[in-house]
Amino acid sequence: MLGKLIKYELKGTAHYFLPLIAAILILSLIFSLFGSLYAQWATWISGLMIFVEVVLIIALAVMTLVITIQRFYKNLLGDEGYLMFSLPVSTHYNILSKLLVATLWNIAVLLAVTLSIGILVMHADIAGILQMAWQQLTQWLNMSNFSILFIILEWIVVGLISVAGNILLLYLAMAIGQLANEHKFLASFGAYIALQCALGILTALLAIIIPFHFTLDWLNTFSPVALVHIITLAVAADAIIGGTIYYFLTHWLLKRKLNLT
Amino acid sequence: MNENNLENINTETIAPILQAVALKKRYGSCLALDALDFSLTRGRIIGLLGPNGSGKTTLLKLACGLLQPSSGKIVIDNHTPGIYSKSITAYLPDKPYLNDWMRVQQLIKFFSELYADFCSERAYEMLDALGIDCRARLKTLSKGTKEKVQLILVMSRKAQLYLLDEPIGGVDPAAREYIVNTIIGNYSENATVLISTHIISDIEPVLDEVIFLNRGKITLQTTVDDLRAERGKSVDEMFREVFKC
Repeated sequence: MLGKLIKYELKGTAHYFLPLIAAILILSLIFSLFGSLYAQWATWISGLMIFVEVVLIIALAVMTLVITIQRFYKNLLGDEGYLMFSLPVSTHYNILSKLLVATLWNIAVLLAVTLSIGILVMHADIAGILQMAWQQLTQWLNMSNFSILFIILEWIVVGLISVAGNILLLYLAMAIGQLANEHKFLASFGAYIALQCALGILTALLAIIIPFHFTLDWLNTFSPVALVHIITLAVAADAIIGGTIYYFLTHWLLKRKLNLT
Repeated sequence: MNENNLENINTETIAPILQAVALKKRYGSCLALDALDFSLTRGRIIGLLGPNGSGKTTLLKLACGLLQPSSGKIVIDNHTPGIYSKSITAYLPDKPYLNDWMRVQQLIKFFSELYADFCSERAYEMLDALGIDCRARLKTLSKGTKEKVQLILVMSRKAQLYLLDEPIGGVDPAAREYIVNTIIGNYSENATVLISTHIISDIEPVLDEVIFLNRGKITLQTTVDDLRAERGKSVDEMFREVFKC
């Protein structure tokens, strides 16, 4: 059942994301060809291209956020929720299918943006970009110091977890907002701000309490590489603990407190 | 088959398909349903009748688990709303609830993949009878046609309980007759159909029982035959009398 829900969620989102991703790649390709032809003519042209590219990236980021929110809000908490919540599937599947697909698209957009910047910087020399990426990769793989490679892998995993964690925080805010009988979206927005404030206060408190009560001198005994691992693990633990709490709260709210009005 | 099994089967068939116990639903300060106690027997077509705002939609949404009771409980085949109850309940909401970017045939595929009891042939047959193009995207269809598609999808399931919220509200009178016939012709034997409506005259001939709901309270639950025999009134007449403004 989860597989089927994921399939329909992919179908329901692909017609937004695929054109967006294609648009940014094609436009940066056109810009960079245009730029390389006319750059010697007038330097302001390449400046303009970079400006437009930045605007495009911001627009793409905003669109991604909007679609991520809209899919959960409209498909689960709006009128379409009447269908999704009367299907004989568990609430876990409904949340997970949204989360997995949203995470996938967020990462796809991130990769597309990276690639489009690469295209622009390298003046559309795709072969050059690939060659450089390959060189970098083999260089990493051939490194005698595996820990650097390991750290890079760690950061990719932590990045994935953080993306999912951030999406779950949005979901939690909407699951709280739907409890209101009116102005659900406004309530969700309020809930998000309140959650962010609470998290900010919690972080600040921890930052004050931990150095006060525990001596952190033992950290100095570690090598710089080990310290990077420790910090990475701490960031990952933070994202995993946060994400898990958001997930189960969202699940509880949608299972026990669902209020489709 | 041993005795124990037989007993289980017996209680299963006798148990009401839907039962509400002291069911209350409150929206803020407004009491939408006030301590409802009733049960629905299997194999009946039951009209849930009441004026606007009497709590009909709230009751159906509670039965589907789209809302949670403020107190009391509602069970379907002895189960609180959940995966099992949803697998035997076919629900038609009172508003468009389908993904409108999908084509009618994609919706049929969606339903057949997600509901084990969905019968695609039945759906195509009904679409054909009503002259609806199954390749059309939902958003290109008129409001009434969308409602017909929704009803067809819901009635193409072999469910044990059908909860239909205003199934004929926005449909033209010609199609109404077909839909009413579809409802009585297509529901599986032993299944119960609960139809909420205030267009009584069209639906009256098929009803076995009626429940009158007013301001969150049940004012009458009886069979249509008893209503006629004991009070000498049709459901429509009774409705007009009870809910006279």
